[in-house]
Amino acid sequence: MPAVVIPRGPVDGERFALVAAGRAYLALGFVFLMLPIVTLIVFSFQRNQYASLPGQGWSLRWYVKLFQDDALLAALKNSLIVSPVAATAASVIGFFAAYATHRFVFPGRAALSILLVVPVLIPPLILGIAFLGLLSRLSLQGQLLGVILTHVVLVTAPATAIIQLRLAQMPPSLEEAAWNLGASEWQALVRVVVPFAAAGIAGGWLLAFTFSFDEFVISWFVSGFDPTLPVAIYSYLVGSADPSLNAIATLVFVLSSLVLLGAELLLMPFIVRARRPGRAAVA
Amino acid sequence: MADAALACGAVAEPARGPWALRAVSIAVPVAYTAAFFLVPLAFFVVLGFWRVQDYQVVPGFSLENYRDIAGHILAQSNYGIAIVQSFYVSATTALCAVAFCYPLVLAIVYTVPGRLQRLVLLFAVAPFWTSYILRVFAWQILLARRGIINTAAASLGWDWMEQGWLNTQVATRIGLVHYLAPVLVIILYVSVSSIDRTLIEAARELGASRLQAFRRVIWPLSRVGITVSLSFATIIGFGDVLSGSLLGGGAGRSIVGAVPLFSNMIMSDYASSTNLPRTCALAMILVLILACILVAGLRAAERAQRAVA
Amino acid sequence: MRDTSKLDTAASVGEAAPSVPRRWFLGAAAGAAWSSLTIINKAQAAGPLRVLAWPGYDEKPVVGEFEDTHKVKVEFKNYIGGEQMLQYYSQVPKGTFDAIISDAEYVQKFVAQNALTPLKKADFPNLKDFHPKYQDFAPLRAPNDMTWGIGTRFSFYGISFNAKHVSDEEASSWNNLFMPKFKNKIVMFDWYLPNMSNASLALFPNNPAPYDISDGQLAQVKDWLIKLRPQITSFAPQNQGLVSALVNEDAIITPYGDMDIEMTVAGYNNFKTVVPKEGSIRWTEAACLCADSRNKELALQWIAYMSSAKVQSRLVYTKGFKARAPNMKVVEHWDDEQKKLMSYVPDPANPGRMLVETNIDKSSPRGLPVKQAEAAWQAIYNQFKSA
Repeated sequence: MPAVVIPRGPVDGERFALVAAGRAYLALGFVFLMLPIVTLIVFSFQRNQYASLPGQGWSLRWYVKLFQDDALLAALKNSLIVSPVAATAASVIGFFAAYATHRFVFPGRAALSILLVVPVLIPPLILGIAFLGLLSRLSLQGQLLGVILTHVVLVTAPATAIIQLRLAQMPPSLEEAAWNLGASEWQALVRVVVPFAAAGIAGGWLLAFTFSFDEFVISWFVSGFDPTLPVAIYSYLVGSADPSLNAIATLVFVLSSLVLLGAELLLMPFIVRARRPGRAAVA
Repeated sequence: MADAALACGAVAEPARGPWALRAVSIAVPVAYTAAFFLVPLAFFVVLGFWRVQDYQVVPGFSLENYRDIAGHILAQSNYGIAIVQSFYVSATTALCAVAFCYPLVLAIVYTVPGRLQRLVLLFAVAPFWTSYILRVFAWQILLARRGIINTAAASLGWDWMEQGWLNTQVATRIGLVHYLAPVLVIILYVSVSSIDRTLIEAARELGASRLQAFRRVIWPLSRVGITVSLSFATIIGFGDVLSGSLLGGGAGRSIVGAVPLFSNMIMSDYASSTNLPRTCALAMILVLILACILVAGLRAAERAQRAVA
Repeated sequence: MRDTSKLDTAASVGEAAPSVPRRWFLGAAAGAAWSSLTIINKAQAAGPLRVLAWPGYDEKPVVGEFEDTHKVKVEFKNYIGGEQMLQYYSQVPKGTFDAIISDAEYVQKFVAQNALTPLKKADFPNLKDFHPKYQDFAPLRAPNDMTWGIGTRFSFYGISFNAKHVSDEEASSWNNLFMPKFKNKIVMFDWYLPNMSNASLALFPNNPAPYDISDGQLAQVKDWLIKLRPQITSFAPQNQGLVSALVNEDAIITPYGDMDIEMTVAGYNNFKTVVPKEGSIRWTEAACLCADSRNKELALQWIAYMSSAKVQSRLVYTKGFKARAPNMKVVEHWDDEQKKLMSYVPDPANPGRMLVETNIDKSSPRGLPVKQAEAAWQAIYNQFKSA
């Protein structure tokens, strides 16, 4: 149901060509996006110590090695604590920031938007040292809480940006109508604004999560003796890229795809219901 | 609902509790940023004015680091040429990334059935779930001279790619575009999918061709998203160190020459002398450049927004 | 993750606190409040030993026996790169670490911060099995015939090459890197220190201190490097990049060394390494005792443990990383294949000596620039990379 086009009769050659071209491009785009992932997955099942052609035959040795090595799995566990918590906190803070800059005019409004982005601009190396200095003085260095606190600083920017983009599409009349109907501003926020921004918040959370999940320089400095996954991966690199890394990347990729797929299929009814009326009408 | 508000003519003031929303929504981000970011930020800025003696940082106020760096802009370390290289690579990367992602998003929004769009979108974001550095390693083996792409091409009889692209800034861009794509797809999807289809319908009803509908409706309404994407991609590309070093070969060739990126140069200066203050000063230059790109991007986005409104 | 109250004490005891006074931040009350918020705080058995180290030391076959004997956990913070190590050390509270594995030339930077306690050689009986140059290793010398550290691993920056394309003869001199066949075929480890020191050796062969050169000599080093620039296809920030370039044949030679070992283990038989006739640089890691350690006795025992032939034979032969051991008795713990791979075999050219000993004599320890600032060398390196 490519809705952009109004059906003008049973056969619309131009429309058909455009849709076909669009889907072909989509397929090509996905080939590009998936190329390194597939490469990585294939080499996780190859005997090769170093990824190169020709392959040396299929093998599960890197998976066996991975499960004998508790360091990587422990690190994965740490990452699975840090990233969701950091992403959630960042989404809450990001939502307030986006809402504040969207609705209110206050002194320093522009400065706030910029300040939230600045952490992304500073080379992580220096930020990592500075964070470590701060956390040491709070006796928080080397704790997962410390990693979470710093990740929130880092990933609030992308979360805010996505939520801002979504809020910018909200007609002001929507919230005003709620007020007119007697809602308090908090009620309007919870019943009207948050549902409207839900897609943006979800997108922001996802982005914040992925940034946090992959962050390694700052994590290295603040994680102490309990590394997150990228930090553990990083310390493997002094020797060489151990294909167990490909194995764990494959597992993470497959598991997260399954989780997303499952969530998508389970949540589908709600999502369909939450669609904007405009689109439903067109479809 | 919107009509109800308009019918009333006036907007009622919402009831304010003791916890005014305005205060809370401003205070939350401000308080967090102040507590956990302003101190590190101050550390970073102040340290640039400190000095190092006997491998230890000495507080004080000195412009010596900046003076020293100034002497290396056009001579010796040649930071100037590295900055030019970074500008060139990151700007062209941003253009490539948007040129790749925008049509992709159009294809998602307009050729994929609505109920499948989120799924397709999730798979576009999926590459992000594997570590960036491991993806970069995978690109190495794909792009190497005896790598997967060349081997495949050779088996088809195409030997014009024999030279390989690894260790040039082309490879840097490929790695960066791949890194940026999931984020840009999200940003652009949020802005394209919100374009009201009744507008497009109306244009078509009035006899506009598809191309005209695109030029008059879709394109202008995507401009905010595109501007945000461009500035975001430039900023990330300018600051990134992995693609330039692992795919670009540390000092990959481009039309600027076989020159390292500025971010890679900061890393290698950091690793080569115990002088954190000087590294901070060097990084300060990077941050100021990025801030300029950011402000320019915000301005452009605002202009695009106004043009729509 | 650790007992925070303990760290707190350590922080206030170590009053020579880093750059900014503790209270400057939030004050004790706020600090206590934050500590109580420590939701994820693993309880730990008493007295773990904490070590700041390169990767490898934390592997089970290396450290396991010590943990079992002493019924203690050894916790490692792995770093990659000396600067990272120094910055980390200077930002954490004093007393966080009991021991440090440091590159030999970085030891002087720790000494400048009064971070280390010198060691009595008599406490380390295994030293007598070390190669003579490591029994009294110059970069680690402390006053009163003491030492700042005990060598644990080392290796050479020789020339590694793909034997399908390069002969031993071609790899026998640094100056052969200029051969036309190596144009755009060299992959270089991306760090100024070994590359510039090797260039110094190429110009001034067998100098025992190639980093101790005059300004005039340094200018020659610069010219030598800039002339080499077109031969270089890429600069790799870690081993992985070198390996990848070599196996995929983007490069056929590297002035780095030890690639033959990595490749042999990975199932390739066409890679070799030579220490060129002009000599080469050699890196060394040493185990050092932290001055602020609250667990010095155990730390000393760990350092002694790390000096034994058995432990070193495992340390330098970990799954991910191979190097050489200063303790020459490691051969007693290796089979013939391992000995051959690690070059602890008789040197045909020098009867009665092992190949590794010949290479130690041909090489000089890596050191920091003496007559110029580090930054001056780095500026030349930057210029070379952009040339």
